[in-house]
Amino acid sequence: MGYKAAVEAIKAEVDSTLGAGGAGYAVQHANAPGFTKPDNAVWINAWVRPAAGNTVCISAKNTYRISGILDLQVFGPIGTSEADVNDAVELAMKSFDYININVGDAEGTVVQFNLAPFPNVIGLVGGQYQVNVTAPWDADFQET
Amino acid sequence: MVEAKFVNAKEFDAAIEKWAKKTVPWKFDQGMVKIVTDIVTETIALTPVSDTPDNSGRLRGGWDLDIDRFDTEENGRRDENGGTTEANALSKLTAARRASGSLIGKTIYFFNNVFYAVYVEFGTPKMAPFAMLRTALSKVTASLS
Repeated sequence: MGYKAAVEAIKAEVDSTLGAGGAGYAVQHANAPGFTKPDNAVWINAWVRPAAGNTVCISAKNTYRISGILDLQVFGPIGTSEADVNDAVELAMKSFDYININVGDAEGTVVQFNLAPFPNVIGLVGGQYQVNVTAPWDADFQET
Repeated sequence: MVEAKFVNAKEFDAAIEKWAKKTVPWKFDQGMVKIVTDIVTETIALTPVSDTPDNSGRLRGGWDLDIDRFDTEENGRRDENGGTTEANALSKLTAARRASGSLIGKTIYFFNNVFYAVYVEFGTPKMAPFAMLRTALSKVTASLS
């Protein structure tokens, strides 16, 4: 199945664009241990959500499509500028706007971000200014 | 031999117009009803139900659908399995289609006024987002592409 490959590829892309390999924001992934939220800098909580159970056969060549969303919660602790949060939001939207990720696995999984990401301003929650960026994705893979 | 003969262009135009007026709205409505039904059903199914008796089914029952308008107050419904909420939403869709003949030009609102719905959908610094509406949308759009 291409689920695991797709999820891992998206997480790696988040790290290379927004995290340590890119803009340097502190990024927390679901179930990842050892993360400390910064007290005075913008940080991101990244959730890759597959729409479970939605595998569609899209061709006669055993090609299947799965889908889901990348949900990036961008947080600015009290004391950080709203502009800093908005910078991170803008970068997140640009980073996942119409891109393809070739996973390079045996199933030929390709993750596609074919719909424009969109932001939702949630506001001040628990001492953090929160904006979510939603990037819908789908991934095609061939059953071997 | 296949032969096409157009004796009167006006008659031909009228026939095409009559066909389009009848067929296009029907096809459009078929597609629209399918998309909305999928989004409604999927979102309600993905909405979590609390273990707390006082609140059980409040968020799931909070979903509502309306045409060209939306409420801003919570509906007060408790619906643990989501069946009533789904039936209520889809009956409004059917009623709107019957009342005006077609859904063309209509704006369909699907909303939830339970105050904590936004936090369940988008999460908080201490809670993961459930993303029930956005996951349902992505599932439906992927099946369209």
